[in-house]
Amino acid sequence: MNRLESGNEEALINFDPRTKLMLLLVVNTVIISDSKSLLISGLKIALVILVLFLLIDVKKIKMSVTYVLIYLLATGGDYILISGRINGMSAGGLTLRILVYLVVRMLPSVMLAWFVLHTTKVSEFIAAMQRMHFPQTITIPFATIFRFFPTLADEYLSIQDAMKMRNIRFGTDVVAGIEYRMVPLLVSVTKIGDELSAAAMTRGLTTENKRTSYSEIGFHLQDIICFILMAASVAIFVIGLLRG
Amino acid sequence: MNTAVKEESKKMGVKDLITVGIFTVVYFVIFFISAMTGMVPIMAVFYPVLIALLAGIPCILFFTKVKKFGMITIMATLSALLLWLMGYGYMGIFTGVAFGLAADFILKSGNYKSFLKMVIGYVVFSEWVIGTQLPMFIGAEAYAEAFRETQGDAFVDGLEKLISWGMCGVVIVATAVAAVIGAFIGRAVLKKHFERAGIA
Repeated sequence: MNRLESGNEEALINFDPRTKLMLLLVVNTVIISDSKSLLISGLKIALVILVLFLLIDVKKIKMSVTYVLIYLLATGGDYILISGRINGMSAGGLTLRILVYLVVRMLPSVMLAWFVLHTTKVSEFIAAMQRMHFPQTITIPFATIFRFFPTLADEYLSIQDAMKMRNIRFGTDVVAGIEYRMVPLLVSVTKIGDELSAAAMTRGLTTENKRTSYSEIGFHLQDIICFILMAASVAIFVIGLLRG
Repeated sequence: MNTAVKEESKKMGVKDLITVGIFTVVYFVIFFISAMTGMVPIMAVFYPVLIALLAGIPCILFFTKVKKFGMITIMATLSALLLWLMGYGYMGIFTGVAFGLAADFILKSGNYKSFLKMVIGYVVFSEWVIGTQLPMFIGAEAYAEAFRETQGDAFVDGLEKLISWGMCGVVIVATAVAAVIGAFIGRAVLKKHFERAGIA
């Protein structure tokens, strides 16, 4: 595959956008489930490791190490909570519960979502959705959502810095704290929306004709392996749920 | 394709769809942060109220930008889908579609201009969040018990005392009240900031 055309020159192995979407769906469903059955716990560990491989695939070694360390720490915290040594409703217990919940149930999915966002160009995503015959009414909001999550985080962090300089904090005045963050955020969000609309027009998204795309998408060996792995995961997950 | 061109004025354009996308992200983030308070039993029941209150500003701004039928339905459906992926239960997808559609009809009846219809629409829209709680009210004790292992005894005992259909009714009413307050806060902020900046 021509690396320049796929746009993700950093990755060792490239996947089709549709494969990545399916990965996201399956991994998320398994990781988020509350089941404590042995089979599903094992599957969760396997998927956590799969996400680790994907991070290594884009050569983010530092990120991979941090991810594993944080996940192991949170698993330790989870163990302490389950053993009942800490009261879950005390201040410390509550903080620990929130942290453990965020890491154990969210972190693998968040890292995978980061991988998908980092390696998929919007044009590739739209081409893939079009190949699957999704209507524009679904494709465009979805593409916007994909494109927009990192932007929103960036914008918020900048506003946060500005408000820190003006010494407007949640602690001193909750109403001002919310208003002075929400309003600038919504102003920039609206402006970015206008810019995205203009960009979409230059990319020919507004025409009624079927678009052609420069992005090369298609299934290769790595995609087929991925599909087999995910099918196996779904099977194990269902068996685990049925056995309780 | 030809009919689509003819009805272009009524159909959603790319700009509308992008507006839907960005406000879905903003709404999702507010939902997610508010729902995190559910780590405390009382908020696990009352988080729809907090969401209705906080999401007033972005939603009223969004409603002023809604000029085509279906935009709120798509926004509610996509939010529900994303939240289903985050583990908030599939029932929210059904309520998301249903209440989003209802809100669309209400705004349409006011020609997308009437503020009163926006308030009513926002109240109806806010109620879809109850759908993410339905598994809790239907499963009651069995639902709460499942968390004993992961969330501890104190959380489960506190939650069990709160789950009942009567409480579900209280949440519905409280959400409606919070949505009205949220909508008026939204309009106040709209008048104070957004209209002056020329973006509402």
